[in-house]
Amino acid sequence: MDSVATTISVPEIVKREIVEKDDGTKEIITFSIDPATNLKHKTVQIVKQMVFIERKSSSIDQRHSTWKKYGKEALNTSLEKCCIVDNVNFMIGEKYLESKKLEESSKKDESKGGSVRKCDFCGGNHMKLSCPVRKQMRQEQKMKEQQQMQVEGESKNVSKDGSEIPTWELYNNKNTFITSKLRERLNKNQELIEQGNEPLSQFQFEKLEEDKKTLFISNLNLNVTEEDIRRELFPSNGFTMDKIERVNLVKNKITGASRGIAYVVVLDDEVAEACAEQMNGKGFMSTIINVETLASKNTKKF
Amino acid sequence: MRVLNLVLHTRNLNQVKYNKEGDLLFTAAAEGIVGVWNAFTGELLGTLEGNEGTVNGMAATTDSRFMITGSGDATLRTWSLQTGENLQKYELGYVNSVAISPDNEYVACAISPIMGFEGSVQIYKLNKETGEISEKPITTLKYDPENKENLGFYGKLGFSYENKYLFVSTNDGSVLRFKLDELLNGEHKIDNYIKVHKEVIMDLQFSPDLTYLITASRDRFSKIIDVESMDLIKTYENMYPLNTACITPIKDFVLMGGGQDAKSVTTTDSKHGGFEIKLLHKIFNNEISEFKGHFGPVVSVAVNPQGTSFTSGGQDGTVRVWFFEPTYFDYTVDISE
Repeated sequence: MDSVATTISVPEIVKREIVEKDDGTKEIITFSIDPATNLKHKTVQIVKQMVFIERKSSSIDQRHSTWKKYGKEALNTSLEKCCIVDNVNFMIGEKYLESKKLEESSKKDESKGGSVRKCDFCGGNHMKLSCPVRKQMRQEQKMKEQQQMQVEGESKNVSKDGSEIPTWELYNNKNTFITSKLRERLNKNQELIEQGNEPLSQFQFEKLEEDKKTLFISNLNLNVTEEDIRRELFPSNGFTMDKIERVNLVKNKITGASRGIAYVVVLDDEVAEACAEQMNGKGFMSTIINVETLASKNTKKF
Repeated sequence: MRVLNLVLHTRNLNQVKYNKEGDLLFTAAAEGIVGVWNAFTGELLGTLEGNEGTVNGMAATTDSRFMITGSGDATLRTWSLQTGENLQKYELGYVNSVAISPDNEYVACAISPIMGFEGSVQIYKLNKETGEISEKPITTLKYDPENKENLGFYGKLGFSYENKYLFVSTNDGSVLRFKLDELLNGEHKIDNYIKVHKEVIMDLQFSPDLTYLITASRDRFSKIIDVESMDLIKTYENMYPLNTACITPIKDFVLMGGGQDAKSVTTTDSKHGGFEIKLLHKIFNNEISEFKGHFGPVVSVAVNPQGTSFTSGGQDGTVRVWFFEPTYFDYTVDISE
């Protein structure tokens, strides 16, 4: 304790004033001089006296002061026996009833299946794809585009699906390069007009070309999968797998079972015709399959 | 709201209780341990160890020096709460519940007619100084199946004010009243009884002044019965079966707890099991608030005699002490509306 007295110098109190105020607080002002540095200090303290009255039953006091802990679990202090639970809200009366109503309404929404659904477009309670506002806006836009096309005066050269109808009348006036493909189409349309039929649009031409290289396979075994067609049917007939663009096996929407029909798109119409020639009437997985191009099938129908 | 979670028991709770002053909290569980807690801080003061079966009922003397427990290992034991010592041990039968009279003179215990024992209610004399009970019961009220007035097996017990009556609930949902002086003289006549429930009564607790009692039953109802006239005063309905109910001091409220059976709990979401403790207005009979937090059925609820907190014990072994907020004490009902 001596060392403390030497290092920390106790200031010498010169004067002390105590002022009592109206609001029950006391102001104590002390003037002092530090003997080590000879500096004068003035300290102001505001003191408020508070009285706490704790009423205790004498028996409770005695119980908690003299009783010792007993029992295995109580003496084992390594584990915490008591913990405070956080975030417990307590509402009473009207507030409680309101919160309960809110909860119930949110529960109802959940049972319908869509509290999480939120449309990015309008913020409603549905998916973006089925948003009615977006649908309407798209329709209006389409209408506007069609109207503009009609206004431009080229309504004769536009088909119902919105694509251009290529004719020599239109392309004679235009200073554009005519490709071989386009020339074929123009000649075909010229023939159709001379025969008295309606000319085809660009879209219909593309569809026809697609049909030419699409194979229609029927009477397939129901156990055949797309992989079987890709890996067994074509290679066994001498066509490598890289000649196939895509395979589409038709299935029942509900059960997922095969219907025995498949559409296969190959590289070009030459391959398609070769395929149809070679594979038609051959056996594959215990059935005899029919293979034909979609174009030939459609012409048969008409 | 301040909530304490007391971690001690590993199996389901059977009863939670406060002592008379409300500074000690006792919890009895199925693994045979009784925990003694500081009711304000949640500190574990001691454990009473020695019961070999589930502790079904317990009661502390009003001076908080001794405790009597009834257990599933067919024993009735007396304990010193100061040291945790087991003072006495009697083999009686499967004890269902224990009660001590308000003046600490008598101890009553209800014995279930299972495991080869006879169903009965036995009353013992209690020595206030040593905490020991008399070797032989003063009287034994036997369950008589041929007597028409004996309605069912004896379940829960309770003494009314001034040692006047002994109340016994039966498992078919009726409450029997016996005059204590008559019982002690050996006259086993039912003074009065009322059939209030359709199913077993799970809990029977008294108001702070011991003039009316509240019952909780598995038939979803809780009822208040007057001690003197045996009239049905109030009926409270719940959506799910009830396990426990109690009356709060200071405010005119009622606390109820319960929930679905444990066997059907796994089939439903914990949100729909009804494991919340409900707070109802005692007089107007409307739901005011609820306390969420238990993940299983609530087995027992007890209110601090000072009215500032309450404790709940669940079937999953959790004990929670809930301290009321100022809004609880400020709540009033507008009658004009």
